[in-house]
Amino acid sequence: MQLVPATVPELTVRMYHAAVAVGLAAGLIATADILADRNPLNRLTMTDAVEIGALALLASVGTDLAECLILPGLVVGLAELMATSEVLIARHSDPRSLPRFDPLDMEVLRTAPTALMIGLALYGVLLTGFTGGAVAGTGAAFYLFSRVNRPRYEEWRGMESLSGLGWALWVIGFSLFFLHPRYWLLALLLAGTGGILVKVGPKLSLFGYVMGYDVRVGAGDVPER
Amino acid sequence: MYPSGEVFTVIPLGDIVPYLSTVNAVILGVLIAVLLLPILSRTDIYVEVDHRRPKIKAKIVTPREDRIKAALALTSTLASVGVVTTGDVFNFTLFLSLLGMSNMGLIGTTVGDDFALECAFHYGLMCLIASLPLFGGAALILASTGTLSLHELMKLPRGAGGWTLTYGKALLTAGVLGEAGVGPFYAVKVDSFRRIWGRYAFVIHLTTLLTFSRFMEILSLLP
Repeated sequence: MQLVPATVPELTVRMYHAAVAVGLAAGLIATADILADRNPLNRLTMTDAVEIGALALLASVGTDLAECLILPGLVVGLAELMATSEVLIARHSDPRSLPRFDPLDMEVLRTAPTALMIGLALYGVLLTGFTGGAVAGTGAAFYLFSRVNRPRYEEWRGMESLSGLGWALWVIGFSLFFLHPRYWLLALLLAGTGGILVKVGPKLSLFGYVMGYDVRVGAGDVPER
Repeated sequence: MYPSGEVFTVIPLGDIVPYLSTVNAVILGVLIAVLLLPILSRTDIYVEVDHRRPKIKAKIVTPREDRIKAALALTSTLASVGVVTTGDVFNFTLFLSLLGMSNMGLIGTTVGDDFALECAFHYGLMCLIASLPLFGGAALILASTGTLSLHELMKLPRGAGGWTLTYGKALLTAGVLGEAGVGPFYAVKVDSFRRIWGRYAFVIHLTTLLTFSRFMEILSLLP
């Protein structure tokens, strides 16, 4: 039965066995660590390594269908991890025993999230499509979660025009398809980038609005910039 | 010819195509009947007798108290309905993961002491570890035959997949064992039948058992 198309090189086909072996080995090593460790939190953390082995097995198939299967696999693994950690929290929850930390004040904590967010959003816009949206959204979420940077709403206001810019790019790309079909690649890139920008822009402005509201109401322990 | 008898209905849902055959229809009926049991029973009186110092403790449980358990039992039953009717190997594994998760929640909440929570945590660890052979087995089946649809897998000649498919079958069996097979073990370990929310512990046993009968059908469908 011929499953692999002839255009795929022989080396790629042969690497499948190695990929399966590596994924299973990663899972076995993580399982051995889970068996050896007695700390429940360490055990729970090491199950993530098992999950990575499962994703490696799925990804090593390397077809469109396998790409579609990775996302539900990842989501199911995350859901199981969250459910199990909820059980762990319910088991060991004592509000007095929770650790308290003073906020760290380091230069890199203030500057790195912005740079990372800009890099991830730009890369996601260039990727286009579903993956690009995920990458750009990850960048925005990372920026939101790093609570050190809290821009004021007034500083963020320009972000709303980003979606308008994206819409203009999409219209230009769309009309370029009909006016000059020879430049189809340029039109495709313009339309794809514009489409993702239209999606990302309103979300970023929403983030800015939420954060500005947060600052105005007064999020007590957020350090000043 | 399907191993589970004649096919009644086929739901043409994209390329997943769930179907309902004779054995699966019986299983579905039993599942829904068992789900209706705790819903229709309105109150529950729980009596605990301590023999060493003569003491009897009674507690009347109103339906309002067990909303979380009812929701978990509903999720578990719906997941096993999905397991029974699906026509796709990967969909089967996804529904099985949902089943393991909701059963873990049922074990943790039925009894309500620390030991039950610890058992639920161990079951959750088992589910997380078993997701590697579960998804890995589905991936190996996809790699060896090129399809995940049960309707297509059935038409392939015997021995079409080679050793990769055999290996995938073994991994899938290990995954099903870890995800659903150990559920009743933990439910018995915390003694949830004789405790206060025992009627929901019944759901754990039934769903995992019926999952196994479905898994037997999938094993016999594979080339």
